[in-house]
Amino acid sequence: MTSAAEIESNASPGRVRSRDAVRSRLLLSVLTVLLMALTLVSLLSGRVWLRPSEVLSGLFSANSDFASLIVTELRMPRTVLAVAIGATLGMCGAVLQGLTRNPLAEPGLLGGSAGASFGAVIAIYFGIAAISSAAIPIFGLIGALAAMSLTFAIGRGGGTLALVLAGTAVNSFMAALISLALNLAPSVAAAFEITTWLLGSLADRSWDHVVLAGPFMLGGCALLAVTTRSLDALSLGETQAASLGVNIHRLRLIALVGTAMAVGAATSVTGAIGFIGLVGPHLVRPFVGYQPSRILLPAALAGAILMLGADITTRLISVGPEMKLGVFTALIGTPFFFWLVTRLPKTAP
Amino acid sequence: MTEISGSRLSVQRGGRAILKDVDMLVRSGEFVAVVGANGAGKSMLLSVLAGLLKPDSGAVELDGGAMASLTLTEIAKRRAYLPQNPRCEWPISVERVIALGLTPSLPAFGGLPASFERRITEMLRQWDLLEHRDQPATTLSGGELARAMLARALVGDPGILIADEPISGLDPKHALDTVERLRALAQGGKLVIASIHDLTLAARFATRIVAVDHGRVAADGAPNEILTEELIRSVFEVEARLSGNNGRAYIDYISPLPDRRKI
Repeated sequence: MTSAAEIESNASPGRVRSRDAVRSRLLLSVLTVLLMALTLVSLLSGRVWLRPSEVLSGLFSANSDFASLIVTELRMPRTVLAVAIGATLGMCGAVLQGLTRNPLAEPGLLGGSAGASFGAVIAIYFGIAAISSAAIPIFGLIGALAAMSLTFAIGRGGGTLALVLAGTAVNSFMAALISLALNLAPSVAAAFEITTWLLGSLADRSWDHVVLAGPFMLGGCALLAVTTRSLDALSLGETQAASLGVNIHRLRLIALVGTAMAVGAATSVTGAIGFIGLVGPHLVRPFVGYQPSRILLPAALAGAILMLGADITTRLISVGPEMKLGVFTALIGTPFFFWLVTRLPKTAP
Repeated sequence: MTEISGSRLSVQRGGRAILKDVDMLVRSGEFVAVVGANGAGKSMLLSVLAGLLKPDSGAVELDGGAMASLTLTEIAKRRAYLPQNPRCEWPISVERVIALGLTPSLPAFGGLPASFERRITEMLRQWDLLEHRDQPATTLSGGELARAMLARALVGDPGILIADEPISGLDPKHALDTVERLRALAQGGKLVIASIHDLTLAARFATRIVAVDHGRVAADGAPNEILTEELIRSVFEVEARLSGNNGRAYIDYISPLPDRRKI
């Protein structure tokens, strides 16, 4: 029982704001330090281990020796992509979980990942990918936008639940189309290429991929950042949010377009990477008092850390052929999903 | 001085008329209790008056200007709305839940200005929630949550409060406490509109009762003028005894009337 005097002293304005801010800042600092450390490890590690001095000289001098080439042409773009894509997935997950008030929501939910995968499969199937390395990202982006527009068109009348169900239906449809492509694949080699791409990986990605996908991921994330106030209001449910001035239809549209751009671009570079967008927001949510608006940035950092950590691990644990990133995140992520589901009865409001 | 006027309001859903030609004029200082059977159209009427739902025909005016011409945010600054059983879907602290009531006045980014923090503390004090300020709203009892939601609704000091069944699910003490507070708000100059099923509490505390029956206003006026056994019989299809008046009314339900449609 709190005494009246304590309550009075607690009641000074700005008390909680500063405590919230301190906690939030602490979390962001810890995540940033972790991310920087992992970035360094990512540059050092791989089939060929580099010394920190080699990495530095590779980064900051115009050498073109073997080590420098590995750093600037292989590990740097790979690291940048892992960070950018992880952050994108984490942020999209945070926004979608806030939008649907469903802790199991993730970027794949509205069909974006599956659409991007199908777009990329088309590019591989018709041999366009062999002509230009830009084909897969571009087709992936188009696929994501098309799939998510379809989701939105089907599910627009019936609220968020309808949107989620429409996303599930579109996901199944895209999966069917991908299976069809595999079914009709002109050669074993083409089928193998499609399957390999679908497993998800960051191996052999270049600066071209950064340049192609980066702007879309940035643009998508910028759109998502605009939704914070509305997501906070949405924690009171759609009716109350609407009564507080939130335009729910516009919010859904912004979240959809933002996710389509960001996840579409991300998936088109790596293939489908699951669970990062699901797990990232969950790791940070308790530290920010469950406020949806405060989760976006930490979730992005957590996503980047998870993605980079997973990518480094796949590089290190592989003895024969490199274990695919998408396979690894799925293996690690599924138990987490199980744990979430078993916890649901206790935490569901 | 605030007023909402609705003229010839009609709403159709699935080919059925939910509201039919409802006319209504309500002003600040009034505590309007909207009563009626389940499905009579009370919630729909409140949503329309709150500007959350556009009527299929007819028009709502807020202080003489068309509600339809105002943006959601402009409306939100002037009227608060609480749906039936409002709840919080994340375990956010009570204090932050109340802060959400300031959403319409906040810039798109950044924290809360200090004056807003003082206002939140003031609401916590007014609604006896100071000791719960850091508690997750999802762990509050029904009575505490009802108070927290009312504090959330009133933190931005809107001239109008519209609440859909604010005392449903509350025990007698909390129900009494809530209607007393609603009346105090009206006496303080706000316009309070609430749908209420408890006719005794409505008769005692509301300044005005609007009885809705099958989408039409069956009666509208001061409780002791319009509330009669005959009205209860026709609106609620219940035989009832009414005793006392002027803030001391009692309503006892005796027996349901046979279903009209079967006669």
